[in-house]
Amino acid sequence: MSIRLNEKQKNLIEKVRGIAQKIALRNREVDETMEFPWDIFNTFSENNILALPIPKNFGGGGAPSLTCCLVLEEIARSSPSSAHMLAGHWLGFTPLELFCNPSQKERYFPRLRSELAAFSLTEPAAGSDAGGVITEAKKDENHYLLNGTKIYCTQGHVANVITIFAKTDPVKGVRGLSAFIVEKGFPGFSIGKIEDQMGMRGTPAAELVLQDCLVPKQNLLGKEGDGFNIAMQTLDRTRPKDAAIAVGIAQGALDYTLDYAKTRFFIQEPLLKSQAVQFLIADIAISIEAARLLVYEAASLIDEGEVSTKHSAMAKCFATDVAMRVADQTIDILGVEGVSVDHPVEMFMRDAKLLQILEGTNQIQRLIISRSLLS
Amino acid sequence: MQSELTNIQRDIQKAAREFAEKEFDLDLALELERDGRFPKSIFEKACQLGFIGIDYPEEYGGQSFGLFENILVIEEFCRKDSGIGIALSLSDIASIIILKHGDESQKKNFLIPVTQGKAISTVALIGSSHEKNQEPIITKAEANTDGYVINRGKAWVVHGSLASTIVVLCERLGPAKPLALIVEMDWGGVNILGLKKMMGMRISSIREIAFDHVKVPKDHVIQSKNEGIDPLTTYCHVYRIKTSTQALGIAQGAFDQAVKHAKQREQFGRKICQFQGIQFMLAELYTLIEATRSLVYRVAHQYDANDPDVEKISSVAKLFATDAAVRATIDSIQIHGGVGLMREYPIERMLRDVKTIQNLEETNLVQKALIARNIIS
Repeated sequence: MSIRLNEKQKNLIEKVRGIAQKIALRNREVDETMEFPWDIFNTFSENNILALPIPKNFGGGGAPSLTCCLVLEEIARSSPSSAHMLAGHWLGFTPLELFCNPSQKERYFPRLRSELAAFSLTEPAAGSDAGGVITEAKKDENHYLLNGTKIYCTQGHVANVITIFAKTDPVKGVRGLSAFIVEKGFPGFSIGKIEDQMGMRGTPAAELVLQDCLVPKQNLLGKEGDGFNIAMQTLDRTRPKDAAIAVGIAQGALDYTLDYAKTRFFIQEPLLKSQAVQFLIADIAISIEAARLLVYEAASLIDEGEVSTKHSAMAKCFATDVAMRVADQTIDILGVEGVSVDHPVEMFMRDAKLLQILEGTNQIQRLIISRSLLS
Repeated sequence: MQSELTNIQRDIQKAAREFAEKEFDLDLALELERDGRFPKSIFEKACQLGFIGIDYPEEYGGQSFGLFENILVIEEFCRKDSGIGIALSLSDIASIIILKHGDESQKKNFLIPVTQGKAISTVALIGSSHEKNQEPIITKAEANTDGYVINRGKAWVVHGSLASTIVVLCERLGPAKPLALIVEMDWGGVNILGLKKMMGMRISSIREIAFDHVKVPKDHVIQSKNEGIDPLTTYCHVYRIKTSTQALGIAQGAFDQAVKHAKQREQFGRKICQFQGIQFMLAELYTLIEATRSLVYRVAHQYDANDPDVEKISSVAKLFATDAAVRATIDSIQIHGGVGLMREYPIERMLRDVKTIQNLEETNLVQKALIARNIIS
């Protein structure tokens, strides 16, 4: 396989790079205050970046997965949390893209060009194990009544449209799961705790509280009992996007380090003349390139209609592990400056740590990969 | 390893553990970290109980133990809380220089107040090697005082705004030995600049301090009588050993939390410690931590025995222990999953703290260069 970007993709990346570098000026403030950066959201919305994966006939960009990954990588290179905002939105959109009926598409697709979406599966007792979901959905004549508490919903506190997973059949485990399109304004929906988290602090995880939350019947996504399948098909398509953010973080850390190192000394010689540092950056570059190719491969498979659970899991696991290691190593090259908030690499490390855990911990990815090898 | 501790050492370890369990509170630590505040009252209690200055002779307010007993305390403190543990263990970081190289009156004047909880002593390292073509940092003062003048210099100083004295270690150009000067914070020309905000270690605030024509009288000059070793070398050895101990304690603390979580958390109908993927992570961390402890305890014993191998092994210990601890904290977060990322749990702070101590003072790249130099020379 060979990945060669076409002119259109190159132009898009060029445009995104300019936007990302401007956005990155807000990194520290967002990291410190944890205030959701609506200005950055608006920038994405106005430049039609938010709507990239939305089909063209609904006013979106109709972009394939690979293009979305390229964009996320480029933004994460300067501002990981901003890329995470975008990926969180696309994660919210993916189940709708896959399972909306025509009338649901009409109602929601145009809105998601300028309104934020989110995805909510996790609960206190259901992290790695989706079967542990307790939130229940009871049907009456025209509605489902949702009761329960969801946690760790990325930017759930600011999203307008959230795909929420709940059990329509509590005794059935994962086969009892169903997916619902829930709007922020639905009666009985409220935001609980917003997490004070280690990284990706512009896009925190939120708790969603559902107390007799009234969801119209026509907001059931797919059929009752489809929930687990919807979640898994979604994650197969979004894991390469997390991986793309990881590649961007690693690349951004390397870029910054190379630039910084030019002016620094290590035991009385320029830092970059030190063979120890040269070997370290060579190893970093090797691992980034390998991760990037794996991400492009996983995304291309999706675009070619051959979505591979295994490749998506491999890309997510490998790239996020690479990002964590690279961020760690670049801090070590920068030394004490690397752990100071005057430089972005310490933030990159905190951001990377989230990626090793969200959307299936890297232990779960390994489980998925070995399962597919052994089946 | 336990079998190698004497009964008294075991008692010290137990006392430190009990003190930390009783006094270090997670909510307090979160508040201290948020405000960048030193736990003054805990420090005073630790002094009263003799944990601080445990390695000073009794006539200077200590308990006449060695560095080994000191690190047993540091390990337990950092195991219970990374941020409070680091802050306390760095509260008397300058003392070792005065202890090893100072004269009688310097020891009386500057060690006793620390053990009484009345003073914090810190170190500023200002070098010549990075500042070529600059005016000399130090000049000899006029004949009538026979002290020194620190013409100029800048350093990042732990507890910079709290300490009452700083030992300024001046690396000098040429063959001259490094010089150690005791500087009192309220002297003219000592300027506390901004707070250096770091990834972690926020309970120990780091300040940039500038020295501008600071006059140091003769009685504040440390005239090292210790022929074999200079004050800078002493400081580096002990700082490395203390850093590796902090790392050991934090690694153990992160591991304790991981085990506790893995035994409680259920997914897929069983405790996650029942999964081999988690078991092997725990087994590897346990191995790593045991190896670290052996190395750290060994080098502390070597230091107390004046073994010249300390020069090399202190670098080995600092390199190995901090790398091990970074890995232990990263893996502990991973075993915790989502909760491991949240500030209200101590694990993510452990990673930020250990990553910071790993890179403060001599980095691990420097340690490797020093170790290699020792091997091939």
